[in-house]
Amino acid sequence: MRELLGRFARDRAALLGLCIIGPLVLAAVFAQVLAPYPNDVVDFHLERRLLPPSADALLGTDRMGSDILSRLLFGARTTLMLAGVTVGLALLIGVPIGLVAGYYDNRMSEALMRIAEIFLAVPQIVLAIAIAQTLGPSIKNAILALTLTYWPFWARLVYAETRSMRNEIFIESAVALGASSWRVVVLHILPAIASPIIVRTSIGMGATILTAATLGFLGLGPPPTAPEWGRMISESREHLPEAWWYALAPGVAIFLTVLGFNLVGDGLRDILDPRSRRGP
Amino acid sequence: MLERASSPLLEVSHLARHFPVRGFLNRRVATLRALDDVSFTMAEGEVLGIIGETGSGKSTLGKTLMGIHRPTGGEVRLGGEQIASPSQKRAAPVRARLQYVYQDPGASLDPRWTLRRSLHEPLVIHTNWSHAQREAKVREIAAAVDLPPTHLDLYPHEISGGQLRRAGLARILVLNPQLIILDEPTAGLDVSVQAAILALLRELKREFNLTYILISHDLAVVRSFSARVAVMYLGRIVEIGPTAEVFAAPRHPYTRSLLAAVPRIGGPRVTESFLLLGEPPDPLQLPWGCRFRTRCCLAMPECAGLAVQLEYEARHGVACPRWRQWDIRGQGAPPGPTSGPFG
Amino acid sequence: MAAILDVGEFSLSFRTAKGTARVLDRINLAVRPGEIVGLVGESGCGKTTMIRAILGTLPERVAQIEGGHILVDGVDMLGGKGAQSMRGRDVTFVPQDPFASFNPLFRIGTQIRDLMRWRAPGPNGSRSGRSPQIVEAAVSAMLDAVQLPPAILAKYPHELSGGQRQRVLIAMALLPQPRIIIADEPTTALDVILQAQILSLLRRLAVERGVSVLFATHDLAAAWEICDRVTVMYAGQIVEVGRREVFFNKPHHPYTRMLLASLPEPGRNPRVIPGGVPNPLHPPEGCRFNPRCPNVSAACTEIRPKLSAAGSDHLVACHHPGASDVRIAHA
Repeated sequence: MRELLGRFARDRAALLGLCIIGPLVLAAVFAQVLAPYPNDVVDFHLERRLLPPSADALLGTDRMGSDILSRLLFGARTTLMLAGVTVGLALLIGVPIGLVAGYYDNRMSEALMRIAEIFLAVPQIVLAIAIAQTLGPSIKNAILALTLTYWPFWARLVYAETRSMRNEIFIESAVALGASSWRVVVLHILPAIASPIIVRTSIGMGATILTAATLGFLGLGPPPTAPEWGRMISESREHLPEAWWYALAPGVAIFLTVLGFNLVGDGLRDILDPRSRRGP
Repeated sequence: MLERASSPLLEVSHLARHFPVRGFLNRRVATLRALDDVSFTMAEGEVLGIIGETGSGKSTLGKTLMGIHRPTGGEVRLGGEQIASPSQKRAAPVRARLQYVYQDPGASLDPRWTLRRSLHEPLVIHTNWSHAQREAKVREIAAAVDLPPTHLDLYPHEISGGQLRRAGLARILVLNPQLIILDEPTAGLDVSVQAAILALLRELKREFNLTYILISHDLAVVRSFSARVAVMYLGRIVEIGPTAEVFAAPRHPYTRSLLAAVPRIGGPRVTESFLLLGEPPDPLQLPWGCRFRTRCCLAMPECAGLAVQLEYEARHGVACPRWRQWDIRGQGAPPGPTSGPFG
Repeated sequence: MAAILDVGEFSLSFRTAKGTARVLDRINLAVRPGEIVGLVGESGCGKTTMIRAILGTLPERVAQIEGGHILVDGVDMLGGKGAQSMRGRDVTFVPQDPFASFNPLFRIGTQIRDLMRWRAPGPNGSRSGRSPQIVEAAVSAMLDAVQLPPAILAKYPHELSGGQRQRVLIAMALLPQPRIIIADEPTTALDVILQAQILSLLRRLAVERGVSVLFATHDLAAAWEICDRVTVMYAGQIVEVGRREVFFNKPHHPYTRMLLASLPEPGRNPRVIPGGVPNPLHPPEGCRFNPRCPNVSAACTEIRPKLSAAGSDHLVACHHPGASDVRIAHA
């Protein structure tokens, strides 16, 4: 374990990713404390509309006169929560389905994978629009839409990994020893395929944040009052190019967050999966 | 030989295992008859060698006996209790008495588990012993296979190949099995390592009163290790009998060809006289009747129609209706027993 | 008779992260015209490295030639000008794994014709002026010689059985009309009957055409079957060289004797050689077999024994050779 941490520490790109995600998580948790104007999430001051960055408002103000930095920090909370819950739910649905479908070789596993493929065929954004249209735009509905379209990725990944594991001699020999299916899957297969799952979780967080921002941009995410990066960019469009800071702040935030998760994911892949490691 | 008139330890009757070959849209396009109508019995303490080429079904036989594959037909009884049949879904508790050793027993250990955890696992599965009871058993077996107790806390990649093999065997032995199926235990090993493994297996057999089924394509290993031998060709046993008898006077034309192909140090160059040409037919399109007839020098038209059964004379069975017509002392006979390597 | 392959005092090391591994230590090896020589040893003894040195396929970054020479037909194979044109023409290779040696995307015929275009000699042994008709005739004659139907040319590698692939590789090794074929465990992956077929084919064609063969194997019985002479390697050193009959009947080196005794034989349990193969990073001083040798003396742990004559056409590197001391196999 210590060796793994050491290897991670030597991976500069992954470390950089961690340096981005770490503060981001802190910012989201302590947004209330860190934000210079915590009340600006709901309050508006029309007299301070569209002020450029200054000592008062480090990142400027938006069209409602709210401090962008404050909204950005609370937006991190929304974004991380949305992505975290989505990925978590997708894992909870996709991993067991992938394990079961991959371990058994019967009609049920066949049916499970066909269902997963049907969901994969639905475009995420289109499903999100449909759900937002029928149930109304909200964080909950965005999570619902993203989870519904995201779990099949996990099911497929876990399915493929489980299939290749099933041919490993130590798995077959555990079966030959009389181990129950539950035992083989949970104690032998799941730990063996944990590393690709962890790697994909990190990269998947980045992808989900991007999709969530897209939903926000389209107005299908959280309601207008809630701070959300995608929506902030969307609002800023009308004030470009004069109020450049308005779009820049959330844009950079999205960019850095996605980059951070991807870097950490790549780093994890390199240390957890020696096969893909680059040369010395 | 230890064989008694008492009931046999293992009874295999008409065992078959077919694999569907699926094509477009998962339709069954053909059937691979990997194992067909295999019957034999084994007494306690016996060593039965199973020889045959790739595709002869010898590994499928081992895995079907073991329950890794469910039989398509026939049944297997261990100590009188049924352990495998087409309808059997749950493993009988008696299954613990039958164990399977992979070609590389070390590879049967989970690379993420310490040896101790791997060695405990069979006992966790099959007993409700306390941790202390299991630990005592694990230590006893580790000592029996010469695995230092300090190694129990190590991971598979941290110990040598030889020790890994011992650990793999220990994992099987903690269950006190009676019958062990050894699947190609010496394949790919250097002769000196091979000798060490065979010596260990021999010692364990004596110490734990084991019965072995030795599956191998190495005829020399089978000959030196097992008292009885079964020869398989395309999913069927074509000849079975005491090793000395089968090697000295093989009856089935396939056995003759197989034995004649083995180079023997000190003997004449077999490649100068060896005649069996060609390769086995496509296993998806097996010949009717005797499966060897397409390559057999004794083949007659009626070989295609016969349902060829093992025909026993004393303990030596052969599945060839024409074997008596081959003059054993005649020209085509294989050379007699070998002289030693320095003959 | 001048040797076709002449390896003299050849030493090679691998630079590894943990230090320098002396993989080959002053190897002497000769293959005479038309002769089949076995290079026998256990895994890790250096036989594959030796072959890669002859074929020029050593990993450049880690391999370091420490001294000695490798000559094929008098041409220096260690970086001399002629070496590259020798390889694939005068020296050809039959690998262990017949599947990995083909490009899976091309038909067998395409791969053979490519080989002919670049490597095969034309009429009168010249390297130019080959007409397609001559190429086709040579290919079909060769297929006939290895007992394959011409239809095989239209197939892809995965459509061939293991035995057929090995036959194609033998054909491809013979087509350039080489002086010597280097075969690395060509039958290890094959079943008994296929092994007999392939060994007999290789021996017959080599003898008919007067091609020399260096046959590396860990299977002593296969070496007995095909070779005229046998060379035994242990931990990067040559320990014994002799004619096949002498070698198997009166081995002089304790390692050879113990190796033969470890073979399973009817009526006798194989004998285990105590200990293990030494670590190439820290090989024992003197004779590298000394930690496992029953006849070890002080000289063995200090002075490296020279390969010296033990009989006609029989060399052994041992301070205490002797065919008669212990018949280990029958003890």
